[in-house]
Amino acid sequence: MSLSLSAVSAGYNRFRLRDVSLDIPPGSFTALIGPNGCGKSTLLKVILQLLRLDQGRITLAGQSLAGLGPRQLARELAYLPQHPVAPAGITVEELVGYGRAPHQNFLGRRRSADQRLINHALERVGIADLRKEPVEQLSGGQRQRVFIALCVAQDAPWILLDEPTSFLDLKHQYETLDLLAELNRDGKTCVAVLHDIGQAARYADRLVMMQSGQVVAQGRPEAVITPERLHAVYGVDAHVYADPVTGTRAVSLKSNRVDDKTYT
Amino acid sequence: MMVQRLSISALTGTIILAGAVFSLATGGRADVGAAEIWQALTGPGQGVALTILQDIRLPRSLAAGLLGMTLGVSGLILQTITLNPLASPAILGINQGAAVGMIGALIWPGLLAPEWLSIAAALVAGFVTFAISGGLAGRIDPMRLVLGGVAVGTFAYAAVRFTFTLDDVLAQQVLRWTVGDIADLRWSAVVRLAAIGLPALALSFALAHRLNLMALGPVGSQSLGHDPRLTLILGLILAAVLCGVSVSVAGPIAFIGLIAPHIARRLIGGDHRGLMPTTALCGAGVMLLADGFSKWLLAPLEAPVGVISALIGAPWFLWLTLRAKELH
Amino acid sequence: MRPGTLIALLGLALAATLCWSLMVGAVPVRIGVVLNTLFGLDGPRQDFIITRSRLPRGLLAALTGGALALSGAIIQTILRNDLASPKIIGINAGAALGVLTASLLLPKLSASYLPLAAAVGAALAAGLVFLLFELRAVSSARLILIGVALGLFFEAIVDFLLITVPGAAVSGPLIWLTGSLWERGWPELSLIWLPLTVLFAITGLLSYRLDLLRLGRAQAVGLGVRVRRERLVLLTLATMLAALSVSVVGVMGFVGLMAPHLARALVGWRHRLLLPAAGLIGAILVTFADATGRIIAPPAEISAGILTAFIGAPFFIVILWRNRREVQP
Repeated sequence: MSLSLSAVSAGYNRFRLRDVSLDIPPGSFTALIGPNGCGKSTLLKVILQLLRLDQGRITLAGQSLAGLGPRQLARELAYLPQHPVAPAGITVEELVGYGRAPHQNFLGRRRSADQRLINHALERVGIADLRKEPVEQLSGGQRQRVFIALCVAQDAPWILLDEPTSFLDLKHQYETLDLLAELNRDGKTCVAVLHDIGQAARYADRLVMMQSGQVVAQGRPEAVITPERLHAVYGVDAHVYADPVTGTRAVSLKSNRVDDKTYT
Repeated sequence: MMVQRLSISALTGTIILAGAVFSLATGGRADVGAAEIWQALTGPGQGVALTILQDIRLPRSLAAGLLGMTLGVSGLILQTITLNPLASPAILGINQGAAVGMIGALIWPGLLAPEWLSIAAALVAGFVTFAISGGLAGRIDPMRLVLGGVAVGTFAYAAVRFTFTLDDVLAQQVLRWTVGDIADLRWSAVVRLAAIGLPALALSFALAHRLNLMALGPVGSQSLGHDPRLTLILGLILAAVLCGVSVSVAGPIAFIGLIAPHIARRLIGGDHRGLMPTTALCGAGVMLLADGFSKWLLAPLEAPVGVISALIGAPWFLWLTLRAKELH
Repeated sequence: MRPGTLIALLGLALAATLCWSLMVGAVPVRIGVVLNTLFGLDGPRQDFIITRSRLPRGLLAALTGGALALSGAIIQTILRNDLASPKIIGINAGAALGVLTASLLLPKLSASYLPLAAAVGAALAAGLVFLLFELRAVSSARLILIGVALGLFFEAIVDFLLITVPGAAVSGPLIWLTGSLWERGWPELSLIWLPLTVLFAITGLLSYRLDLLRLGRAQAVGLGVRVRRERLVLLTLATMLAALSVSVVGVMGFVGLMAPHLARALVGWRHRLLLPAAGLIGAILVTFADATGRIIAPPAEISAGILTAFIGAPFFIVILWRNRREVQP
């Protein structure tokens, strides 16, 4: 049931993936981390067939994704892009309703099962009382919830999120991550590109660290986040310790000296 | 450095010289070619060649050169104040606005001298395009600018095309002129062009320093004490004047204002103190070459120079569009 | 007011405008006479003016106005830019070039083939723009610029031909280019009513696809939409709608831009409502412009195309002005 990449190469210019092999077990909360340009977003895009696969294979539960049509793929993988677009004037309920598209026919006819799942998504994410509000008038945090509700309505076992917290303030970052953790407990497999290492270690049970289009480490946060690796990948001298509140890995910089040999 | 300066000057000089020769040497009378012109210029010269040179070709070529200068500099100013390398008087609707002014002068002769009506209309058109793309607030959205220019230009052009329906004779007159034509320009036109164009050019050169600051972007330059809105308004007025007087003399000639600054930039870089005169010279060179082409291409017929400039300029614009970095 | 009611009202407005257009012109015709003629009742009739001239003309105006409006709505959605229009992807200039080339290269060709030439020219121009779009995967902002550039280029060629080719051969196409319903009648109508109706129906069926595309490429793919394919199909539809329209009545400025905007202000952005509303508004606009053009300075007629530009451009400018603080996505 894992999502597996073997020897995958894809992408363009600075954002190339080179010979990436990776296993993401179902039911996990996996965070993709790494410096800018390392290929985290590219990885998601290749899985979702937003970018063409140049070499290698991607399989889900043993079956190659290449053989799946877009709708079938969308029923397995839900996606929250980095800059999601809310068309002008659209209400929360309408936007979340689009999550049903992979299950609906060409004309978008909504059946009662669809409506039930939309209602469920709105409640699960806690925005049911906002359903008639125009999305553009919501705060950043609320808007992000709407798009997550869209993913929930899609009723796919996997949710892939590209930097879901990058443009949110502190409180909403943690709200979003808490929501993802709850969905993970519900049974959804979450794969999120995160830029904050501490947050990644706190919420994810698996980390994948990337650099220059390759996977340099994958596994439990304790195993992946080490001072040596941080030096090699991010070019910083860091102290790694257990967060006093959660006990998960946290990072504090000793020196910001950028070592040109290792940092690209 | 000196070698670079010399080679740039040499290159620019060659373009202009080639253009001038081409322009002067071609024309309706095939028996008055380069050789005859040369004789008329250098020797005592007499007869047909001298008359043609003095009365027809010299003023026309001179006008072409001046037009190249005014249009080129107008384009440069617009590109800088909109921070958009694809801007030009035609794209922003200023050309077409000036054309409406000219048509107005044709229909109501007593109102104002054609040049001034043309300039006034150019100003209005430019102002409208700027206002709707956020220029009054000091920050211009590049997409709005292009689309706003299209709207203003289309409206102005509809007005011009409207005159076709009024009168067949007028239509024939207007048609040739509406694409930009210098075939009938004589000394009076040169004088009109120079009287307004040269002072405007001088003022534009004086604006060069402010334009350098403008190019840093509104935020960057404000931190240096520069007021972008003032430069915007001054630049717009000058661009409209330069464009307006050109259109009043020769009709709307497209793309010189786009091409000349780009060539000049390639030669000399982004400092407006050098870039402006170079743009003027490049514009002159391109216009002279275009003029020569317009006479030579379909001899003995003449293709109006505006059509030639559009036929070269539009693919150039297309190419620029395809390769330019994102407009932000 | 409920959107459905609004659309019904628009339908009534169109009927009223059509009726009015039958009444006005160089020879005013009273409503009673119009009705007599249309429905074959007893009483004074004006068969020639109404049935042979104004009726097909009015219907043609409505159909082409609707087609241009739908085309504009599709293009604005696909390019995710409310300021885009069919003109912006070079359709108008391409059609003009097609007609001119055909009439110059094949002067003996009967005038009834000109619409075909226009349609082919428009399709080629748009096709060129799409090709560039696909090949270089440019952003939609860039696509607009490409369309503008191509449009300018084709216009330059048109001007070149108009001027260098002598005299009478071009005066007809010249007038035609300004967008007019003058001397258009049953022949032109019979040429396009069926294809346009089919295209209208297909466009309506694709309302939901347009809604999804409005979410942006990334999200649409995430929802299982074959974005590239559907965009291509829809853009082809938009091109055909506009090309067919331009081929019989010439270039009508701003209809494809204005109508979707007005429709959006009235019924919102969901295409099941937006498309019918836009179509009706476009139809009303062109019918109205055509009728008005007949009564400003009779017996001379001012082309509908010029009037739509005169109304449309200031309208567009006002929209831009009011939205000037908005940032385009």
